[in-house]
Amino acid sequence: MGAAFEGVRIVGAGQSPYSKKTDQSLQGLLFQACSTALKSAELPWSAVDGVALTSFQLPPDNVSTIAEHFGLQPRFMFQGLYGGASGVIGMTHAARALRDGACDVAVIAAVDAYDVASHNDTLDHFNGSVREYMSPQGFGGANGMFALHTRLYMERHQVGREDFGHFCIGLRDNARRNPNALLRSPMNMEDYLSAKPIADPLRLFDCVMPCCGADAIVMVSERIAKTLHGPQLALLAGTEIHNYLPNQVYELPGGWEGMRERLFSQAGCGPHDLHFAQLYDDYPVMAYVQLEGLGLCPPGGAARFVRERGITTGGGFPINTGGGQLSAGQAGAAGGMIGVYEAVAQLLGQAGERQIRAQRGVVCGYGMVAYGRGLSSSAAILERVQ
Amino acid sequence: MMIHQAPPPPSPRVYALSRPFWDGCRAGELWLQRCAEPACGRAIHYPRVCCPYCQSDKLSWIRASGLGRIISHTTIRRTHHDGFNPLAPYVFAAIELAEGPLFYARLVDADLEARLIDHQVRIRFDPGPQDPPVPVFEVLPY
Repeated sequence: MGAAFEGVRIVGAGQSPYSKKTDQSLQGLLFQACSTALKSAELPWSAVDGVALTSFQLPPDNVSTIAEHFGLQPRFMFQGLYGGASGVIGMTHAARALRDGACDVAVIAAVDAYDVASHNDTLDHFNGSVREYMSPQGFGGANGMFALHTRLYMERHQVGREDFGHFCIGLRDNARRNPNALLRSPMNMEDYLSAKPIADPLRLFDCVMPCCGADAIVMVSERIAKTLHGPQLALLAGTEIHNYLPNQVYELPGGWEGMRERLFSQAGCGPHDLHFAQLYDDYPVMAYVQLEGLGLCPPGGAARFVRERGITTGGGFPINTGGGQLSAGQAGAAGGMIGVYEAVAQLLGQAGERQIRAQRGVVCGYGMVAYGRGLSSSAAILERVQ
Repeated sequence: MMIHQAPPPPSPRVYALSRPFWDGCRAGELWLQRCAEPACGRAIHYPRVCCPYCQSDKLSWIRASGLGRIISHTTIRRTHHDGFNPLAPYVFAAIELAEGPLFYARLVDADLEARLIDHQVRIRFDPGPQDPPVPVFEVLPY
């Protein structure tokens, strides 16, 4: 199974505390997440010779200046420029570098510290097409864009708000077992349906809460993996696709449909061999598009899948076992790493009260909102091997 | 006494590439790029250096009809920028122009609760605080 990244192993996961506000610098949050990940891998900082980093707020600093700040001498670096797709993409690029001998110990991380106002400000200037042809037109930020997607999905598949409610309520239930999740109070359908309206048909609990935090994982080459004694994961597959399809006027984002065949043929397994999914849940509609795109259920069948299978940590197919971005919070670009962190923590057996029994799972990324849609999609399949 | 005044909504920046589009808006007209490659000929928005369908760099400008169809819409109740607060709640839509391309715009005088998908719309150039002026659309009788 999955020889694309043969020998490469994932051996550690770490997360900073998530908070609505922080006195810590981005560097401080990042250092905390990476240190925790290295500790769980039983590796010292001095072993790190690869860094993959994503952050919206870090500029003018970047992965190079972070290496200097932390006193590292990397032989491989990656700066994620694909928004929430970057966590999975950084992991995949690092896996190639580790496989090819470019480095031996890579830290893959993301960090940001947002509130609602600063999040809106970032998105206003996210790229040229947003800045000139969406923001001055009154697009309503990410909420407005994904409200358009949500209405189109509801119209096309004849589903209602309750059909998204089951997903959000399941995630909230998962968050209650995650001490680091920011939204942990119980939520029922009535709470979900009657929440404050934001951008019809979206209400408050369809929208992620901007927050502060960092997530990190540690990956090693075959040479280093042989010296370690803790649990280890293999990356069975890692794929990305951008601007899929380029000639559409307006469509629901379909990148996972575009990469599905490559993803599963690389992994040597199918959608029904997976035990969980960590989906990119900036909005529930996106999680549904991913479930359908990956072939876990037929087009328009995601709500039924969620309802019938059960997505909580005790359910038939757990999804976003830490509460996802919708209940844990979206720390900017770390929204593209929180699923990677959660997948690795689960498979390494480090998930505490929310631990599930699973050997193999998928994690998705999605990002770079632009004219018409987010441009970048990514997905990876991870398996415990030791 | 300090009076807190909301900032104006953000104005687009005008570059050489997009000047014909925004000059059109100033004149109350919608102008689009069109691929001059005969085998392609598609209309394009927003302005680009090449045709995104066939990568030809032979692009011309056409005056468009200003008509379109609503692909999807949302009623914005929490704005992304304080400059839009005086307008909220308002309807924002993804529109397929009659010539083909996607166009994002606010709808004026639209029913905040109605289902508007597939309704026909027409462009309007209302005076406002933005420079250059940003076009809006009105919903045509169904």
